[in-house]
Amino acid sequence: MSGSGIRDDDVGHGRDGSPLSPVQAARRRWLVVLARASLAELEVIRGTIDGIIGDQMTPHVLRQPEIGMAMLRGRMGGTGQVFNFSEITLTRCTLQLADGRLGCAYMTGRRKNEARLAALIDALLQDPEHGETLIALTIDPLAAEQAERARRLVARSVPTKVEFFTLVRGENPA
Amino acid sequence: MRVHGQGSPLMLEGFTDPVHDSQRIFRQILEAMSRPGSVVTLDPLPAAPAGLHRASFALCLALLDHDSTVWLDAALQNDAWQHLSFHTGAPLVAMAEAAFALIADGHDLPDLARVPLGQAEYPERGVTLIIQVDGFDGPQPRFLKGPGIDGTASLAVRGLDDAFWTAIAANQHRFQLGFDAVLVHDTNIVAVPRSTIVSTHPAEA
Amino acid sequence: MYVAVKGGERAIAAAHRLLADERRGDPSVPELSIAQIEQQMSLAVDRVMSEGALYDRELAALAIKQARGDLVEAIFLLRAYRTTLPRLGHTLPIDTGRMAVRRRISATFKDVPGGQILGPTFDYTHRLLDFTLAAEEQATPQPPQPPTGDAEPITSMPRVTDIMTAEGILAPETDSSEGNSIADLTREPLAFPADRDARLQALARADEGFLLGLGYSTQRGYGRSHPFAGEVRMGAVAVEIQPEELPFPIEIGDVELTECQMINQYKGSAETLPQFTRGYGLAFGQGERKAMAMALVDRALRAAELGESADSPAQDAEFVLYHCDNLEASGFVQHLKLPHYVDFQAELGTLRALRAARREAAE
Repeated sequence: MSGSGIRDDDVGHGRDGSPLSPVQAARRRWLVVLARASLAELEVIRGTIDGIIGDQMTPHVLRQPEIGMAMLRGRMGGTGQVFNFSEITLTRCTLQLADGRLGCAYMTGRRKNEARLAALIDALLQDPEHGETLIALTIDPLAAEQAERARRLVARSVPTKVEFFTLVRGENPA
Repeated sequence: MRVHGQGSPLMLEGFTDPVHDSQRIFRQILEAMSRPGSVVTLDPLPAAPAGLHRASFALCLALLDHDSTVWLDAALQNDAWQHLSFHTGAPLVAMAEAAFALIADGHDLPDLARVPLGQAEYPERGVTLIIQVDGFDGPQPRFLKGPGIDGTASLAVRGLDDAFWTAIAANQHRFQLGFDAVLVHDTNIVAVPRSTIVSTHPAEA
Repeated sequence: MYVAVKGGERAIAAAHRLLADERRGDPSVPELSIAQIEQQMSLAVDRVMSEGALYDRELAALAIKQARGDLVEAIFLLRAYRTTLPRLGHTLPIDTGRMAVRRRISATFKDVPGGQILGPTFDYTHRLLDFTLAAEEQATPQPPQPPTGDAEPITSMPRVTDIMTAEGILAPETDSSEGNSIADLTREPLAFPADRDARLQALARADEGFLLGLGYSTQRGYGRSHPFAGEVRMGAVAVEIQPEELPFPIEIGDVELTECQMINQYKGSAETLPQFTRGYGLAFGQGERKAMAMALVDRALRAAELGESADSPAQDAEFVLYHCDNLEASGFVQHLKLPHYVDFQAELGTLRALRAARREAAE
């Protein structure tokens, strides 16, 4: 379901259709969570990471936060041939730590500060030593929060579901 | 570029201020194009990946994007292409479909008789060649005339195969079809657009 | 013939200042914020995004404010802005089957799996002006209480059309576009005959009023169709892209969409049994009227492909697609306000000559 990020049963696939390795699947999951995070949430994550990894390498920004558009594609009839539907604004940023770790961010909207922060967090979460701890402390709770937010939004419509009933008539005993 | 996170080779930065740097470089390319034969120095430039002169890299960053097709010779389809692809998103295509062609070494040109020249309805679809050369202080000057040149200009390129000058000469017989060229050395560029007429003697020019 | 007319500069500058002042209105009335427009005029925002062909709620709200609520002008502003943004790529095709559905209705099956979910709709309202909204201080409306806990979450919402396709009564829509290039009107101008991909892109950004009128005409007999709203669904769909530097695609956010699948009967052909065929509509946000009208017109434009006679306006691709864009239409209609002093003088000269000729003939 949208808005909730990646479901537990969704391992994801590479561009060639092959299943992702556990390392790739974990990174895909946090990239998706970061893309939907607010600036405040990203700052909290950054603070948590700072607390665990003291001295950080200065990131080398390869691609400054950049606002652009992506052509949003749809399918005829929902399942058929692809067509170019319309465009959507997006922001991206890529940076690299001195040890070669690349961090990137792609998110809808015009959000330069968020993109820079998310790219840095992406690089930092690839920390071979602390990665798993950091994910448990930052990504897991935010993923749960996002899933809950999406669930609440959809749940608002549940009371508007039509409960059909047929009027009971003589020849139709209850 | 396929980067899988850790252990990736260090990448080079593109423009530090993409919007304004692109505009500044574009303005300088425009200056070169409107003054054919004159040497324009681009400044300041980001460091270029191996195989590319700094001005070539800047030209590509300013001119190429997701919608502009590019052809590269084999010498550049490695580290240089990884950087260009990452920073510009330009699709790599066959020469026949290229809007831009990047040539690593003026001694080793592709067949210039087979580059896109545009069509009568769409002359702007002629390719722009970006050719890296050894310098603009060569022994044998060529003489240029045409729009943007007051009288005659001389240009002495080092490290450019004569086939280039033959192809340029053919340009003037099919105007307004043709290709445009930007010669690059280090941080300098010289434009030879399709409107320029080139000869080996000042009198003919 | 146009002749440059100079001399209006000062008047134009003054008109712009006057316009800005009129936009603000009475300064004793609080100014609208972008957030207010985005939140409380959200369907206007949706329309501006659809026809402006750019999904960005904040920009659309700003455009509405600047355009003083003139939505066609706001669409113009958004279209102009989008030309300043670089194209960074394209998304993977969105999967509306995985929509987080907030509204979903079918007019063809009552007991559709997943149920009929009305969502936030104007349908069934009495269209009586609600004067409580005009009160200075209102109580915040209370939304209906969602079920507590995990009672009946909306997790599975199969498309009605998928069910019909599985039963073999509806022509399937399958992906055969692998390797084919996909038309893009933002890069190549419209050319005829236009394939369905180009037509759908044009209809997606087309003027809602124009499509509504055309869709209505097909119902009234200009195109002989008897459509059913097979399904209308609205909700958030994940946007997924394949970044150049990653070996796998990622979701980068969500987009609110309304999708309409309109079902029409089809007589069949020598190769095909009689079956239902469909028209497809897609709009940003809660653009239900737009999505439905688009689906009707999409189906009408498929006449040639389905071997039907095409003699009604809505079935004429050139007529529809050349006139559906409100930016082009508004520009060409409104250009008549520009000075035409010289060519009017020419016509006036012709008129006088004709009159003189007639007088002479009469004498």
